[in-house]
Amino acid sequence: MGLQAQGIVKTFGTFTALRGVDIDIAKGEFVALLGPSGSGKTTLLRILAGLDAQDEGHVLFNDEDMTGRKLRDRRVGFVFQHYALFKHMTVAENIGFGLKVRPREQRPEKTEIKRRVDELLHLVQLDRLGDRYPSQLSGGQRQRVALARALAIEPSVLLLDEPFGALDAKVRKELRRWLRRLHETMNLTSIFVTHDQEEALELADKVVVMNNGLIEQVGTPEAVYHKPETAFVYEFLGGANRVPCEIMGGVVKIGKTIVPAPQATDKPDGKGIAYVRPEEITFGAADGPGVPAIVQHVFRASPLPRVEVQLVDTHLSLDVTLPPEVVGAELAKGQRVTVNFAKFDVLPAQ
Amino acid sequence: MSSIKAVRTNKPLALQDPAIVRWGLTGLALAFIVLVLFLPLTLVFLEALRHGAQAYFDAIIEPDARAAIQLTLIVAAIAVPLNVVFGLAGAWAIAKFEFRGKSILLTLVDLPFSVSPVISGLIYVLLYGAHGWFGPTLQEWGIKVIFNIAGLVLATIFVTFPFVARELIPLMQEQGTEEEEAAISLGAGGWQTFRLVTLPNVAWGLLYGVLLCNARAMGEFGAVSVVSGHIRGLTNTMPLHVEILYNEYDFVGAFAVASLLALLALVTLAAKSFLEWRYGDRLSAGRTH
Repeated sequence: MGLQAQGIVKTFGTFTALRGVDIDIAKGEFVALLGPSGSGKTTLLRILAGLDAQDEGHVLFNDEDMTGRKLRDRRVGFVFQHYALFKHMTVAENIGFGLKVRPREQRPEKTEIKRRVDELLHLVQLDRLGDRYPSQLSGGQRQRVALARALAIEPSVLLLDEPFGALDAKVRKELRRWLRRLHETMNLTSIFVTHDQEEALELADKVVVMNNGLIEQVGTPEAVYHKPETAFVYEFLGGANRVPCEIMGGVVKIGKTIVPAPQATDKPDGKGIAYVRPEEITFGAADGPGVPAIVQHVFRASPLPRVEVQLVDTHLSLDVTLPPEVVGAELAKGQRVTVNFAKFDVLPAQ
Repeated sequence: MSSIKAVRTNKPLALQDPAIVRWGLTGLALAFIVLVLFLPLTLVFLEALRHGAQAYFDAIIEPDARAAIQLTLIVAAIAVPLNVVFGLAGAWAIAKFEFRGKSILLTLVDLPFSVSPVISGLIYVLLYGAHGWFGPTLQEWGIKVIFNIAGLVLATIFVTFPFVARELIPLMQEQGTEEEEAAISLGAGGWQTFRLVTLPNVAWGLLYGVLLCNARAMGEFGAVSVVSGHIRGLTNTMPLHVEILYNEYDFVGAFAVASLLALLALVTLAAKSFLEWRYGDRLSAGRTH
């Protein structure tokens, strides 16, 4: 099902959570709403679900305005951050809840409900746990019960609020892959909220980066990662280094060093920020071309060794990740090097 | 240095004080409980049985006493269910919704706790009494509130109003609204959500609130005393009957009826403990997240 939001504004008292958000989601898409806490992503999700009402704007399901429509009519499967399982019901009762509360004429027979619940238990790989209570399950199992419960009503769209937020790293990775497969096999349209960029980039077809109640950028994971459009997206995604500089025509000046920057020709002269990712920095000999710097720390205990350097002129610290063969054994704290930027973007300072 | 030494022993910190302090404090607490709680309670039963079991039962089945017991049961039977409804509705509104005037409503719920019961009774006399605001009008319609069972019920409802609500509000607030939202997102209506999700989650708090509310409804003295008029066999509840008998130096009668009230308190406590023991598993299953 296609889903659109148009000009959504939402305030809580004096706090404006959303300041005019437009979003267009096609059938079958797997969309991540990505942003820091307080960016309005969960509020947007809740408005799409109908759990909160927007102050302004419209939510359309298949071009039909949902404003004022009951949640029952929206057929939205919502998975809560802390699962919100019914504590006093068994797993099976939880999953069957959405079917049990249907109006009499739409309600399936008891045996049919049981069949569907068993089917869903199988789908979420909890076959023999139907009689347990939620308190007797692990976090990952609860998460899957919450999913099964939401899927029981055959939702037209699945909305997930920080679906992996409360899980440990290992379970999180497994569940992520599993959810991706589920989305594909069940032909769902899914939207999930996350503040974890890795999760968003790995899982989604489309990433919606939000900040301060506005959408910063919408695009494929590749697009938002490799072609960020705003300073915020640069800083939020991939942990780019933020290097204050002076824009001067086709070059930028970092400290006392002039660095060619053909990508900055269209930017106005004056103060700017160069954004450069850790993996796009290379080291040269101390007397070679580039920005002079001193090695501060070398962390070798990771797949890609990380080096922290400090620029000599500005005392700015940069994070650098290098292929292991480059770092070698000789790179050490206190060593003088020059840093070169293989690729970077420049934006005027605000 | 002493604290370092203390850590090395296996005893819990609370048991490392000198013996005199430990036994002194324990003894003090025990003495307090015996003097303030246990002795008076025992005395009620001892006094009631002073002239033997026969005198005790005679005092209880005496017509005025029976009328008082009956009236107390009737008043509680009306007031408690009504306060369950009001308390549930009030707690549900306060804990699960945001609205203007919420803090005022919360204060109003607490009002009966902060007002002396005698004043509560007086208010009803001023409103519904023969010379009160609505008294004459009601009298024309043939409705008598003050010095009648209606007044007793009203006063009891007022005084016992906070018990159920106060028990439920913190519980409901702690539970938040996520489960209700989940139910609604799964297509449940408001009533279904309340019946299937909210109510089972607060069942234990509700039960406790009802027990407390009932104990107070049967034991209430001040407010009821003002509106009752003390008509023997007609508008006397058990606590009022106890007072009358006591003032007439009928100690066995007074303590016999009083023992019934005390018994009620003990039964209430026993019922609560029993239910907690019997359904403790479900209770803990419901509480853990």
